[in-house]
Amino acid sequence: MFQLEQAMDNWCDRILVNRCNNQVKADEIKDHLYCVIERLTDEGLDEQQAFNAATRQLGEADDLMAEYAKNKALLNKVCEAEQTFLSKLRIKNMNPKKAGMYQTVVALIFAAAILVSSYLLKDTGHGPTIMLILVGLWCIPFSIINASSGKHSARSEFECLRNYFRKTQQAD
Amino acid sequence: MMSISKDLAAASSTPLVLSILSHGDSYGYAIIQQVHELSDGQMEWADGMLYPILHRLEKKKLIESYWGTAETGRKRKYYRLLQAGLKELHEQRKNWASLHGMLRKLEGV
Repeated sequence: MFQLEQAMDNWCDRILVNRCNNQVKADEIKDHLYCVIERLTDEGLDEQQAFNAATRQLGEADDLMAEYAKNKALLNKVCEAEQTFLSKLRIKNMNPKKAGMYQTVVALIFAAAILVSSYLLKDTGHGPTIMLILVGLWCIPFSIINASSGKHSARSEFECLRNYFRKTQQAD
Repeated sequence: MMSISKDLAAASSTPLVLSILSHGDSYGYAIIQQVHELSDGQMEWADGMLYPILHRLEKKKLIESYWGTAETGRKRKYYRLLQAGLKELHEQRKNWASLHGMLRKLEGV
């Protein structure tokens, strides 16, 4: 039995590439597809035929994806690169317990590196600089593990920060 | 039947969309239907290509969008022409008219 809504969701997921694209674009395309499907079912087609014709009329999938890619903001590109990177590493959908363990191990390694470097560089004056660099580098595995456990992506981290600043500005 | 090429369709998409919106707010499907009718089916314009164009025009602040509700109760995104869009439309109309003028002059050569 053909499920129109399911078919619609699957199609949008495929064309709008990944979860980096927000729901807004999917809602707009869905409204368009429903308009065409309503017209075609009124003309006598069944839902599946109408759905197939409506998606075909939208154009070649490759052309559509290329058009959408032109509009991608830098943030979406970062998010997509992050998703690709995770899938290449095959560490997508890591379970939260395992992710927590990895976070602890990484935290211990970086903490040790910070301690050792500050001890070794105590007389050179470069200690604080190296410590800042190490803290910055720590963010990389931290956000990768976080994203792989499905908690956050670069986009959600950024949006969280943006909302925070917006709220702070409003409060001022 | 004579048809308008993909390249020409892409080049004319901005003035067409801006022109349609200059007559009032509209949404994707209605804009596409209007283009089909205006071109008597000659415009080779894949339906889906309109949306990225609308998003680009919105990004350039030539148009703006807002969500409304269709008569079926579905969420629908409408587009409205902005002042900068109207200015751009006048500019584009001038360019197309001058191109048309050039072709007309060459016809007589």
